[in-house]
Amino acid sequence: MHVGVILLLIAATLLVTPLLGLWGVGYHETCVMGASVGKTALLTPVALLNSPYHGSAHASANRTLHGSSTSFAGLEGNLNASNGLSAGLFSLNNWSVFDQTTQWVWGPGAPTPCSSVEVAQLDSNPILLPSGRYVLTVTLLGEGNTSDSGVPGSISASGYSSVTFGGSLPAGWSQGQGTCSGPGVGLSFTMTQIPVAVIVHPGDSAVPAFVPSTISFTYSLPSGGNWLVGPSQSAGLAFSYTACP
Amino acid sequence: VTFGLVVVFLAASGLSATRTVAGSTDTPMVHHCMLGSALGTEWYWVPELIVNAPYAGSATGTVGTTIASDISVSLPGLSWEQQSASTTATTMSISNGQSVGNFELTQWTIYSDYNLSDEHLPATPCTTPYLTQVTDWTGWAQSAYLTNGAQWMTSLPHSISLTDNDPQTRVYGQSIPSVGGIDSFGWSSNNQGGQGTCNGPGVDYSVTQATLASTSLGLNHGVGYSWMSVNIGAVYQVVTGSSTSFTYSFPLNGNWLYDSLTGGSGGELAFYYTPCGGGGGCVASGTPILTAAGYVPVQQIRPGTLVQEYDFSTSSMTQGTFLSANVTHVHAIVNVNHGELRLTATDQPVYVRNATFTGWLRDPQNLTTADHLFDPVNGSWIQIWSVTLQKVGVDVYDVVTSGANNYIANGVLLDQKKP
Repeated sequence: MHVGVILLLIAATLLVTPLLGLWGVGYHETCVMGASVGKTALLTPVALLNSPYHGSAHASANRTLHGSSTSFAGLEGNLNASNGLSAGLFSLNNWSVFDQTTQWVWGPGAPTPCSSVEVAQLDSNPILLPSGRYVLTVTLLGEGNTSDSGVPGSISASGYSSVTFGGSLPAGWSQGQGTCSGPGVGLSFTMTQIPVAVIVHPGDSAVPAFVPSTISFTYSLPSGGNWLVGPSQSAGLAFSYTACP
Repeated sequence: VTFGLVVVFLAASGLSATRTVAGSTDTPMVHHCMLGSALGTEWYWVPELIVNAPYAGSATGTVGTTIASDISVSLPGLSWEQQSASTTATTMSISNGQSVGNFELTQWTIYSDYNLSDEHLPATPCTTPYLTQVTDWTGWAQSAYLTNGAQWMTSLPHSISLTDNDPQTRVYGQSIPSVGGIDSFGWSSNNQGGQGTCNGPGVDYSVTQATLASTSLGLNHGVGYSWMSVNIGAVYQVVTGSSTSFTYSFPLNGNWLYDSLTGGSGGELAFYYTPCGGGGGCVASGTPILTAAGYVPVQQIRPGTLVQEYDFSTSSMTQGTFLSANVTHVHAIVNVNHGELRLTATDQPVYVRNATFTGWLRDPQNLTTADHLFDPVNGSWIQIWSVTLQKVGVDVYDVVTSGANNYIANGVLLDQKKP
């Protein structure tokens, strides 16, 4: 085969592969941010925590924040809860939503089409709350609840609404831990981001986003119970308790 | 909750049935074992974590897994896929001779197998007529006690049964056996070592291992994994990315032998406790002691009997008097060279030589195959080629002599127990 034919085939391949979703040197798709749709301040979780009924839980959060350390000397990154109580630690942050479109561009690169028509961006500098603090602790579900299914998807406090979050077990979840015939068990779980949904104007559709926050959770399940246990969307683990037979 | 245990290899063993293998003719045939028909299913509890606490002490065991994957996020009014990394771990903390486990409910499917002849596939011929695979990790785990308050963990239970408490499983409310692999968590008699705190502060002993491997052969103990009267065993292990770690704590005033569990990777330990100042310093019943009239079993020697001793000052044999031999009962013994010498694990001095040391070794539990024992009768050294901690109940005798205060047991120089 002639060298020229081979080179032609290689060039054609590189030009065509972006069309197949592969890296190439020709045209490829890229996601380009467009105009601002809006901007608003929303209560944003630093950590959300569920505690198992009859048990206890602890969360230690470390969210990447801008600003001087002095400014946030009072920032409390720990949450404790027990016996079914669910709690959240929130800061007030600005969120901006932008349009985004998929465009064809010339040059080498992998195709990166937009996964949604809008994108939300977090300004990680927290805004001082009316209380004079940067964080707010909120009880999401009171003590004594056997299931986290009642954890709300959003809150309003101090005159602000929050981003949308999820704190309960996925529907139909069947995994868990029993201790009816044995000792208590400790569980731990870490996550590096909190999935949330952002709405900057009432009536707008929600935009998926995440809050970068490294959170270490520990849970204690005492002897003598059964708990469905699974990862919640935004709050570490979630639980649903049933008594021993 | 188990996020980490995944079957990566399975095999059958202890089988009595026969099999048909594709034949070969002129050229070597490459056989690759393939799964055949599913023959049946069984439900079993599989241990994801076994933890033993030393008597009077405490222990913590943790099994954890790191997961990086796409997760499906579903918030009110919105769902999307997102890359996520998380770690999960299960921890059990116990004390004072407790032995516990956390068991995950699993469904096993039994298959026939056959050999496929294909030179392009690896040569892995079938070795048994059946294979097993875990076909459902339910993610439902239950904790259980294996023993409680045990001073000696030389006989952990071979199997347990637990009632399934998860209403969402298909066997809810039923009593389900564990895989017979509990036997794998028994004392392996490999004599890993010992820890004494009779003359010092309590210590912590921590071990970490990368994987937990457990082997069950035949599963003939307790409830077997059987199909059509064929006992089927399985080998399973934790996938890469999982880790199991243990921390054991020993308080003041005790002696503990520890031993890795059969099938484990060295991290899971079991313990054998003896109190300070008691139990040690003895030879087992039946040990021949050299008297002036020749060898006599230790239990038959009477006070006043002349016994042979060794005088280090003259490097020659001498005679002393057998004064006493208090008898006690122990549940484990150090077995040297397959029964040539059977000694208590602690406080029975043995004269040894190795590359760096010649002298009295106080605790036989510390003997290794690098040591030689002294034969004073022939003036020679005896190679240790085997040393194990044997789980057996046996009477032991604390030999006390006058004169040089030592004696010869089956050709080996021993000293009497030191205070």
